[in-house]
Amino acid sequence: MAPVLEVRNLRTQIEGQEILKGVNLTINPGEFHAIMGPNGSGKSTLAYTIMGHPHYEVIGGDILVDGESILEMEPDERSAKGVFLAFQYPLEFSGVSMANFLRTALNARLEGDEEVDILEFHDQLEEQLARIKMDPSFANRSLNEGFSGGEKKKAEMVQMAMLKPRIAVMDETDSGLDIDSLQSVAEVVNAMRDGTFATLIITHYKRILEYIRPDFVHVMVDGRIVKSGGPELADEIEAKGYDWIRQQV
Amino acid sequence: MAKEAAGTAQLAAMRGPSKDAVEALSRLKGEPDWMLKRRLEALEIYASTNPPRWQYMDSSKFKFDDLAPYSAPPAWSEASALLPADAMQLVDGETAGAGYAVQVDSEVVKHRLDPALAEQGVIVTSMEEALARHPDLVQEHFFQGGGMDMEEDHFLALHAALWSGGLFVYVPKDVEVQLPVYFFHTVSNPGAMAQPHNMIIVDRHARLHLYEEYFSTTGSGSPYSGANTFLHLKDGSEARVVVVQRWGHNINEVSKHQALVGRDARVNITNALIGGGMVQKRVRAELRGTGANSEMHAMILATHQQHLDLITENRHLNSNTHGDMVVKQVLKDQSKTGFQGMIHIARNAPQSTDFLAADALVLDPGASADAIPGLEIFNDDVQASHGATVGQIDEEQLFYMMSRGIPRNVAELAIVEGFFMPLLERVPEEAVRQRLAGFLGETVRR
Repeated sequence: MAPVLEVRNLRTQIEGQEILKGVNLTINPGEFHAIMGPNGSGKSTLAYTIMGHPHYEVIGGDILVDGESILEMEPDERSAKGVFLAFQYPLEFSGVSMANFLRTALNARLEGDEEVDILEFHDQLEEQLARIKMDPSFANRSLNEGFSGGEKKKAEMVQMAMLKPRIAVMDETDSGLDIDSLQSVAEVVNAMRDGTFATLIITHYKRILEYIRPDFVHVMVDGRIVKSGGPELADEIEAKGYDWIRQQV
Repeated sequence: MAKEAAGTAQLAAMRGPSKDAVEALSRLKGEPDWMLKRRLEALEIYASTNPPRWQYMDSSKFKFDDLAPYSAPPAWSEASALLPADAMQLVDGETAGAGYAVQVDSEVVKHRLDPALAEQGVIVTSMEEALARHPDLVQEHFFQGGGMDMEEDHFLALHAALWSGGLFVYVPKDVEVQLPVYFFHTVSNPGAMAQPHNMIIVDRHARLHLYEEYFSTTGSGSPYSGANTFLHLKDGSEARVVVVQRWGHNINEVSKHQALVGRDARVNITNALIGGGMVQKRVRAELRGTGANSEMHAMILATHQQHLDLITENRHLNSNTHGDMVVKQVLKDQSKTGFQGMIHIARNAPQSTDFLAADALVLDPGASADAIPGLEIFNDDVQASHGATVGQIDEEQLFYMMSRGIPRNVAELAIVEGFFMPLLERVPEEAVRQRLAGFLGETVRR
């Protein structure tokens, strides 16, 4: 069975500057991976490149989902293949409610004019909001408008749960989250673990990995993954810092 | 009948504005002498003035020499087929509102008023019938009973000379008309001018909701629309007006909405400018009484080769008058828009406030939006501000939506609908709001 996500020797530049200098990563279905690294190491760039952000130019290598290259695909096509990105800084959408936004996204996955059942949809959305401890009124508010940082991150998780991706890239979801919120997020993510759903958790700190236990931890420095290991690698980083890794490599 | 038929045939054969045309028109309608006199005075002004210099549009491109000054509508069976199906429902069905008038080409062909409202003294009829049955009311308010203001422009003079058809509404003191009064106008003759004169009088402490819709499918020819609406709001009265202009792109228009607002009276005009090829639209409120209030909202959606100009103007002529202008534009293809928002606060208008916010979203590189906010302030004890932005769809917003699986064109539509939403939400009648949202959506999708 092909890996759900395979990044092969990926090189990316933005505005002429090379950020990813040959990233290799293989994620099999059901695996939870974490990427840690200092600021500027290219973690977010990797996330954006996987999702297909137009400003990030791939200058070498490949990205495959289920064995198929996605480099030529637009972000919406990648989403249809099962890729999801939980943004570090989710955008505000004045005049577009969370409910309408999600319904539009779900309808886009259906054939022709088919639409999701409205009642079922609202029930599911209410349930997901409750599970992550967000007030039901958030469904009708303009998406992310006036939301606190934590609420925005939680809203990303609600979208993830509703869209049911095969590989979810979580870009520093933990930043700006208090302990309670972090626990709610972890509950939702852990509940999605079913042997098929895979995640790539991008984080600067170890803390989130105590709530969402990764199967593999990678360290990214200067545009490359320089070390990989099991969950205990996160403990080592915590104890010794990123400079220790730099010296090792 | 034969005389009428001869009269309309004579007019149908004429071309362009002329003294003969004015006289033939007035004779056909059997108007009182004073109206003929006013028409001829207006024609004088038209003939002796040049088209004005507009900021963004060349006014000399509006030509009338090949257009018939008047066009009799076809029979109702043919005329009703021209109206949008759902308009017919609004007009005939359960949601018939308080009343309506339907105009095809140069005449109102059908009108109705809820009998219960008629009993209260409300009048909803054609201008012609109002002129016949309520001449004093019309004379008092027609260009306010005075002569044509020299500062009134060339095109308004053409309208005053050759107006035909239009809605007349009178709401007596203290009467609140809860449901909307509808005015629909469509054209079937691609070689004529259509210039309805809508006169709306809301007496003291009365209330009115008015919905105007101008509709046609794009066809051949270059017909002209010179529709003008004059609202007279007496002390303490309130009027909410929604105007949807969705002409085919072969129709050119110079049109004005003007509101005279009395003491403590309020007017709210929401304009949706969607149709027409070349359109110069003016919306002006004169806040004449202390405590008068004017809200002007506009949504402009320009596509293909359209050139749509909008000028909104709040003139504060008394103390403690308040205004608010919110304009949102979306442009596609190679369209062009020009917006001017003027806030004028006179010397004797202390404690007045007005705020202008104009935003434009340009979806295609070939389109261009121009905006000039203007403030003329002659009193220090006021608050006024303006802001205008012109931008493209935020690439990051598009990327975010696409990352959720929403295709690019659907994402653009959602963003455009979200952009108009704050104005749509302020339209109080659900049916009207839905209708308007539908037109905006289908136009963006094209």
